[in-house]
Amino acid sequence: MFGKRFLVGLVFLLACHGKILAQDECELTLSRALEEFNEGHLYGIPGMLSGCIEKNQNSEWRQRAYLLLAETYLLLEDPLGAEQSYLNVLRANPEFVPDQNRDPIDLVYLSKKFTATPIFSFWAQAGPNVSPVRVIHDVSIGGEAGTKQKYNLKLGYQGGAGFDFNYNERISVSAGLNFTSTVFKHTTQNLFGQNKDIVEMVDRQSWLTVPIAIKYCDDVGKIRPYGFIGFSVQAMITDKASIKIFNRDSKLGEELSSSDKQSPSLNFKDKRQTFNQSLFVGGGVRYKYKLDYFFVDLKYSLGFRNVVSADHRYDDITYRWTYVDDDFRLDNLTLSIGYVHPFYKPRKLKHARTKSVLRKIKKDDDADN
Amino acid sequence: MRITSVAIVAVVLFLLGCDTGGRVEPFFQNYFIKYYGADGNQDGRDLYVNDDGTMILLGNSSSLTESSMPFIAKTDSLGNVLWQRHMGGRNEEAVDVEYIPGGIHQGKLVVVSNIVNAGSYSIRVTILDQDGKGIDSLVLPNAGTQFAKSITPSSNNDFLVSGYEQPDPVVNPEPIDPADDKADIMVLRVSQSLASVKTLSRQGGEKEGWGTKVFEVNLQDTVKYAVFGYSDRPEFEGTGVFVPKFEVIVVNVNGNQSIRRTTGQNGDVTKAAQAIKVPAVQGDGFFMIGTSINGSGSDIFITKYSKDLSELSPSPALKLPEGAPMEGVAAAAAVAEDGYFLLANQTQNNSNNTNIFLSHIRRDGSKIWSTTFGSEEGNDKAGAVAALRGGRIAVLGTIDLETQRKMALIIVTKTGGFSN
Repeated sequence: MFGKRFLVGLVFLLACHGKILAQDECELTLSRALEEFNEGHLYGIPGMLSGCIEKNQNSEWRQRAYLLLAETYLLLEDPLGAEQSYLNVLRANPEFVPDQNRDPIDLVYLSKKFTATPIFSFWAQAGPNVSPVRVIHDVSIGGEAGTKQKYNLKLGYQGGAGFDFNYNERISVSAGLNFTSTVFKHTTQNLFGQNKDIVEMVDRQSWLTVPIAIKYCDDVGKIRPYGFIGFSVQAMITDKASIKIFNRDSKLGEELSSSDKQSPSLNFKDKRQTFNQSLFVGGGVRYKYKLDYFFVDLKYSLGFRNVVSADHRYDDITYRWTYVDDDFRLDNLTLSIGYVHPFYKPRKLKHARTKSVLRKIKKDDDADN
Repeated sequence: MRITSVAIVAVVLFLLGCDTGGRVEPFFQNYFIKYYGADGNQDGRDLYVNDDGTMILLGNSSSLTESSMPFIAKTDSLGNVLWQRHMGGRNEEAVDVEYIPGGIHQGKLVVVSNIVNAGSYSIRVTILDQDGKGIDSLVLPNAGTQFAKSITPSSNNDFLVSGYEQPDPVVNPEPIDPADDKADIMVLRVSQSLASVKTLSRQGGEKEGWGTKVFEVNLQDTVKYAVFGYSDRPEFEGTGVFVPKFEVIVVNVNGNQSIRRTTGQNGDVTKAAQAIKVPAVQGDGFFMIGTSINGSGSDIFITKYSKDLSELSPSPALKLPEGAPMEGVAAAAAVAEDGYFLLANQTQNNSNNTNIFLSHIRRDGSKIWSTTFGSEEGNDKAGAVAALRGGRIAVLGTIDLETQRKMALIIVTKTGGFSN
C-alpha cells in the first residue's frame, strides 16, 4: 500500500519537475530570441519560438512571445504574419494595450486594427429584497370607517443570471432570468370597533422575471461605477399567504375573551394576476478581479400592474379569514451581489481606429523637422 | 442613438400601460362583501333599503358573556356604516324591520323582536328614528307565548304583527289531542302610539303553523288583511291527515275569514318563510317563498298569488330542485330585471353546514342564474335579499368566520358577481 502511494507521488513530482524544466527552457529560448531581435537577426526568430509555442506555455509567456513575433514580422514586412501574431497577443491577454511611449509606433498602429472587447458578458447575482406595496384602491372588509389598514415590508430574496450585449466599452444591453421571492405584510386594525380585532396577513410570492436593461458603465479603473434602466416582465409562480386573526372582545379596556387563530398556508395564486410588468432603475459598482468583475448594485422596480384579480377578490378566504385584497401594485427594492465574466473576443476591426496614431506620427515628424 | 430611442419608446409604452386609480375600475365600491358587528357574534336577519339608497341592517348579537340582543346598523349605499348600536334587552332576538310611511312616526323605523322568558316568548315593538335613536318601545302584554315573524305598517298607521301564539284547541277546525297542538296563527294590531294591542285574527292551524307576513288588500272596495303563512290544516275534513302547506287567509277588519287558499306539493311538508308584495311591473300580487320537505330532501318552494288572491301564477306552485337540500328564506322582486331573487340556505354535501344561496328566476319560475356565498367549513346563513336601483342585489346574511360569526352585507351585480 505504502509502495503504491510512494510510486504515485514520485510520478507526480517528476511530471511537475518536467513541466518546470520545459518552462525554464522556453524562457531561455524567448530570451535568446529577444537577443536575436535586438541584434537584427530576424529571420530565425519564428523558428526559434515555434517549438515552445506548440508546447502551450502560460499566457504571460505567450503574450511576450507573440508580441516579439508581431514586431519581427512588421520589420520583415510580413503584414499577415504580424496581424496573426498580434491577434495571438490579444488571445493571451485580451486587455493588452501597447504603450505609445514604450512600444514601436508601427506596433501601436497595428494594435488599432484589433480589439478584444467582449461582445457578450455573463453575469449572475443574488441578494435580498423588500417589496413596498402601492395601493391603487383601498378595499375594506369591515363596514366601519374606523377600520385601518397598513402594509409592512418583509425581507425576500432573489437570484438570477443573464448576459450583457456590449454595444461598446461603456454601453451594454442586458437580459436575464431571475427568480424572485417577495414578501409583505398587511394588517387590518380596529375591525368591529376601536382596539378590537386585528387581522395580519403575510403574503409570499415567487416570480420568474425577465429583465431587459440598458447599462452605462465606467471602463477604467479597479472600481467602476455603473447605472442602468430597464423594464421587466414577471410571471407569478406561487403565492402563499398565512393569516392570523386576533379576535379581541373587550369592555371599558378590559379584555373579556379572545380567540386568536393562525391559518394554515393559504393559496392566493387564484387571487392574483399571473403576469406583471415593471420599470426599474438602479446603479452600483464593479470591482475588477483579473479579467472578471464582482459587483454590488441597488435596483428599484416600479410595478405597473394591479396584482389583484378583481374577479377572485371574494372567495373562501374572505368567508373564513376575514381578509380582502386592496387593489395594489407591487414594487421591489433589490440589493444584488454578483459576478460578471466577459467573453473576450480578439478580432480584427472592420474599420481600423488608426487616425490618432497617424496624427501622432505626423506630429513627431513635424517635431523632428 | 437607436438604442436610446427604443428605450424611450419602451418606457413611454410602459407608462401608458400602468394600472392607476383611474384605469382600475373600482368595482369593489358597488359590489362587495362587508362584515358588521361588535364584540362576539352578530347574525344578519333583515334588510330595509331607504329611498335614498341607505340601508338598515337588522340582526342579533351574542357573545360568551352576553346573551342575544338585537343589533342594528345603518349604512350608506356603498356599505359604509353611518351608525350602529345594540337595542332592546338580553334574551331578545329581532326578526323584522320596516319603514313607517305615515302617522306620528312617519319616516322612522319599526322593529319587532321576540323576548325569551323562562321558555315562553313575548313580542317587543320598538320605534327608532333614522339616526338610530330609540323613540318608543312596548313589550306586548300576553297570557302565554306570542312569537312574531314580521311587522307591517297598515294604511291606518297601525302595525300588524304576524306570527304564532300559544294554541287554543277550541279554534282548531278539527278536534285534536291538545298535547299535539303546538301553535295558532296570530295577527295582532298595534297602534302606532303603542297604546293599544288587539288581536286581529287567530287561526287554529291544527297542530302547527304561523303567519309569516300580513298585507292589506283591497277586495271589492273593502280593506281586508291577507295573512300569508302555513298550517297543517287538513285538506279534507275528517281524514286525520295533517300535512303542513302554504296558506293564505283573508280576514276583514273584525278578523272574520273570507278566503283561504292552501298550496303545497302532494306528500311534502311545506313551510312558509317570507311573503312579499309584487310590484305592478312584475305582474302585481304577492309572492311567497318557503321550503318543501320530503323525507331528508328539501327544496325551495314558491307561490305567486294574483292581486285579488283569486289565482296562482305559475300555477299551482313550484318546487325548485337544486340538487342539494335547500331551505327557502327570503325573496325580492327584481327592479331592473324580470322575475324574482330567491335567497336560501343550501346544505353542503359533506356536512350539515349551509351556504347562502342566491338565485334569479323568471316570473314563470325558470332559473336564470344562481350563486352561493360562504365557505365549506362555515355554517353561513341567509337573512334577507333586496333588489337595488340600477340592478344591484343586496343580500344580508351571517358568515361563519374562523373565530366568530358576523353580519354580512353582500352586494352583487345583476348576474350575481362582484365585477362586470
